[in-house]
Amino acid sequence: MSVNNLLSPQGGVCGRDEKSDCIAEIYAFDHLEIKIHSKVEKFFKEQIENTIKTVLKENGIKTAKVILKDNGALDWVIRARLECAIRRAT
Amino acid sequence: MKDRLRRTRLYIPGNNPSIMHNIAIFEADTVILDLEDAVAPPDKDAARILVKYALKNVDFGKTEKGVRINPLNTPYGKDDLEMAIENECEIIFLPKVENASDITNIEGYLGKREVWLAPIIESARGILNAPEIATASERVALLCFGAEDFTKDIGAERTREGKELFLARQMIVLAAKSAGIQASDTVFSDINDLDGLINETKLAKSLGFDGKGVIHPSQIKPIHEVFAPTEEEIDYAKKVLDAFKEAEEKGSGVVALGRKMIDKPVVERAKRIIKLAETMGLLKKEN
Repeated sequence: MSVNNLLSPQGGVCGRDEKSDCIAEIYAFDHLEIKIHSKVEKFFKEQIENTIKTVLKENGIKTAKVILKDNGALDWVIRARLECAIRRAT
Repeated sequence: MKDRLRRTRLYIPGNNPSIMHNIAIFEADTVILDLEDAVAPPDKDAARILVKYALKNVDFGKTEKGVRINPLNTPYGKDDLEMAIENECEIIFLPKVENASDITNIEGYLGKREVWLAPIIESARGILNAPEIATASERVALLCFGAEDFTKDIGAERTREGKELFLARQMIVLAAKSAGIQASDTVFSDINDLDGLINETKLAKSLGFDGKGVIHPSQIKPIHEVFAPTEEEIDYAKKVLDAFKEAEEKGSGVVALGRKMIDKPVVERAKRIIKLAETMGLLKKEN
C-alpha cells in the first residue's frame, strides 16, 4: 500500500499525559500500524484498537502509524484526541 | 426551557476530560464547558473536539448543557458556535458582550434550533448597554455578570465586600428583570472562603439575582442553600396559588388574597418558589 497522502510527514499529536486522558499521535506510513501503551492494555487493548480503526475509517485513512498513550481515557476521549491529531496532521 | 432553575452555572475547562465524567454527580443547575478563558490558544482546536464528544457522550443528569464559546471576532468563535449548536448544547454563554449586535450576529447562525443564549457582561460599555442586550433576542434567557474583567475595565480594585460592583450588579438585575429573563451573578473566586461565598450569594439573592457562577463543585451546595426559599416564602406562595386556583374555578379574572389584589407576576413568582421548594425537597409534590 502507498503512503496516505492525506497526512503530512510530520504527523499530528493531541492530548495530555493526565488521568482519564490520552495522547494520540498519527503519522503518514506505508501500511497500518497501531501501537497502544496503556495500564489497562490487558483488558481493553482490543476495544481501544477498534475505536482507533473506527476513527481512521470515518476519516478515510487506510494507512498510517498510530501511537496511543492511554491513561485511563474513556472511548469518547480517545475518539476526540485521535480526531484532533488527524486534523492537525492534515 | 427558558426559565428553568439556574441557581448555579459551573465552569468546567473545555480540555479536561477527567472532570467532565462527574458532571451529573455535581448537581449544578447548569454546566458550562468552557472554550474561552480556560483554554490556551494552542489547545482551542483540541478542546472544541473534546467538548463535541462530551456533549454527546457524558451523562449530564438533570444539568443543563452549556458551552462558553470564544467571541465571534476571534479566529475560534465561529467554529465553537457551529460545534455547540450541532451537538445538542442547550445554552450558549457568550463572553464580553458589549451591545445588541453581539447577540444579533449570533442569531443568524442558529436557524430554528432551540438553544438559549446567556450573554456575559464584563465591561463598562456592556453594563451601560445591558437593557438592549437583554432584549436583543427572544433567545436571551440569562444575563450574567463577569466581575473580574469588569473591575479591570473600570480601573477599580476588586474588594471582598464588592462596593465597586454595586451599580453594575443592579444594572444587570434591572436589565434582566425588565426583559423578563434571569440574572446570574459573577463567580466567587476564593474556593477556600466559604463564609465569603455565602455572604456574597446572600447579597446577590437580595439584589434580585437568580443564581451565581461557580468555579468549583464544592461551591454548589452552599449556593443552592442560600437560594432555597424560606418557610415564610413557601407559606405565602401556597396561599397565592390557592387564591389563584379559587379565582380560576370561579372563572374570575381577578385574583385576591384577603383584601389584596394579586398580580400575574406575583402568581408566577409563587409558582417558581413552590417548584424550587419541591426540587430542593422542602415540600412534597402536590397535584
